[in-house]
Amino acid sequence: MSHESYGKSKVQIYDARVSFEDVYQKDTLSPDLLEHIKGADILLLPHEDFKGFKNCFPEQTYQFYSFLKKEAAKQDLSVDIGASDEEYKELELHADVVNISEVLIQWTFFPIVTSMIAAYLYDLVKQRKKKMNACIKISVEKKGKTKTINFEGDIENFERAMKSIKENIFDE
Amino acid sequence: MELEQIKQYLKNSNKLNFDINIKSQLKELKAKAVELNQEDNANEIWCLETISEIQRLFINAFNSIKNGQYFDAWSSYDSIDIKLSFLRKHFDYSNNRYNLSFIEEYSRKYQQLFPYEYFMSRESVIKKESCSICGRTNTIRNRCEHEVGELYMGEMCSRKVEDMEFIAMSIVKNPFDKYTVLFPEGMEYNYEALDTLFLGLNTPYDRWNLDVGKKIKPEFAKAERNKPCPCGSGKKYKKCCCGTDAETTVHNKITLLDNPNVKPVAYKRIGTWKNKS
Repeated sequence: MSHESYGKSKVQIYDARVSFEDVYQKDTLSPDLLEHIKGADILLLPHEDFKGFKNCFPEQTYQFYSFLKKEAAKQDLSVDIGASDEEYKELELHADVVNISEVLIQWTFFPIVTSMIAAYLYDLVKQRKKKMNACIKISVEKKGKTKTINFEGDIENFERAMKSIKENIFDE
Repeated sequence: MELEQIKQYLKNSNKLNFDINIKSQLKELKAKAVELNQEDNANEIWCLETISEIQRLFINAFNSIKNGQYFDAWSSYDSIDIKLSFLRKHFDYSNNRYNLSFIEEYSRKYQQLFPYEYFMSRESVIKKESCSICGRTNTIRNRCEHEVGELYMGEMCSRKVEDMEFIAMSIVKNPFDKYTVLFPEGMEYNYEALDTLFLGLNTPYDRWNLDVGKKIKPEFAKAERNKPCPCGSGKKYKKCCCGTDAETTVHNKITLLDNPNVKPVAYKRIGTWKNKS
C-alpha cells in the first residue's frame, strides 16, 4: 500500500518477507553466532537474492553497521547482521542513491532507530554537500506481524515521513 | 619552500598556473613529520596536499576547456568534488579559506553546462577487503581500529578491495562516478554552452551567475489542448504532455559579473549533440 508522498519521495508499507523467527531458522549460522544474533535488538538483513548472489548487503554497509553499533550502544541496544562473516558480501551498484541495508526491529524501537538512520543520512549529505536520494527499508515486528516500510526519495524528507508512520499499519 | 611559504602560496587565489613542485615539497615535509612521529603535523600536511591538488585541478579544468579538451575538464571537476568530500571532515573552509568555497561553487556550475547525460555504471559484488593503513583483512564483525575516511599519520584510511566479482555494466543517468561518460560512436557532444561562456571569461576566477529555469519547448509553444500532442503520441495534448516536464527544457541564463562589456548573446537552443553536416 502506498502510504504518502513527500514531494518526490515515496513511502510504501507492505507485509515483510522476513521476520526475526525466519532469520533464526537460517541453517548456515553457527550455534554461537545464532545465539549472538538472537540477542540483537536491531538486525541488518541482506538483499533477498541479487542475480543469484545470496547474502549481499548494499555497499558501505560496514560503515552503516559501525555507526549504528556506536549509536545503539548509547541507548543500550545491540545490533547484528543476519549473515555470517564468511557469507557477507557487498553489492556495488554505483548509482548516486544511498542504499542502506534493510533493518529489522521490534515496533517499540521504531522512533529511536529511525532517528539513528536519519543522523547517518544527514552525515552523508553534509559530507557530499548536495541533495541526495536514499532507498531505505525498515521492517517492524509487533505481536507476530511484520511490516516493511519502504522509503524512496530525498533524504531531507526521510525523518518527517517516518514520523507520520503510526501503529495502525499492523491493522491492515 | 617551508610549510608557511606553501600556505601563503596556496592562499593566493589568483594563480593562473600551478607550481608543480608544491606536491613533492609537501610530500617531503610530510615524510619528516612522520619520521618525528608528529601525527597532527602530518595530518595538516595531508589537508594542504588535498587543497593544492584541488587548486591545481581547478586551473587545469579551465585551461582544458579553453583548449577544447572538454572531457579532461569534466574529469577534473569530478575529482574536485570527490576530494572536497574527503576534505570536509578534516578542514573547515568556510569564509572561502584557500578559495575553496569559490572552487566548490564554480566547479558545480561549470559541470551544469556540460552536455553529458548518460554514464556507465558497474555492478559488482565485493567479497574481501583490507585496510589501507594496516593492511589487515577486515570482515564485517571483526575489523581493525582504523576508520575509513579518518586520517592516520598523514594518510586517509580507505578500504582496499581484495576480491570482487564483476556482474554487469548499466547505462544510467545519475551515477556515483561521473567520469564514466558514454561517447557513442559517430556522435559528437555539443559544447556550445561552455564555448559561449568562455568567450567572456579571462581567468578561472572570473565570476558569473547561473540561473537555471525552465522554458517551454518551441514545438509546444502553440499547442492547443484539444489538438494532437506535439510529441507525436497520438493523444490529445491536454491528456498527454500538457503541464508536464516533457514540454519544458532547462533554460540556463548566464550573467558575467567581471566582464560586463561582453556583447550579450541572445537566447538560443543548444542540444546535447552536434548536428551532422
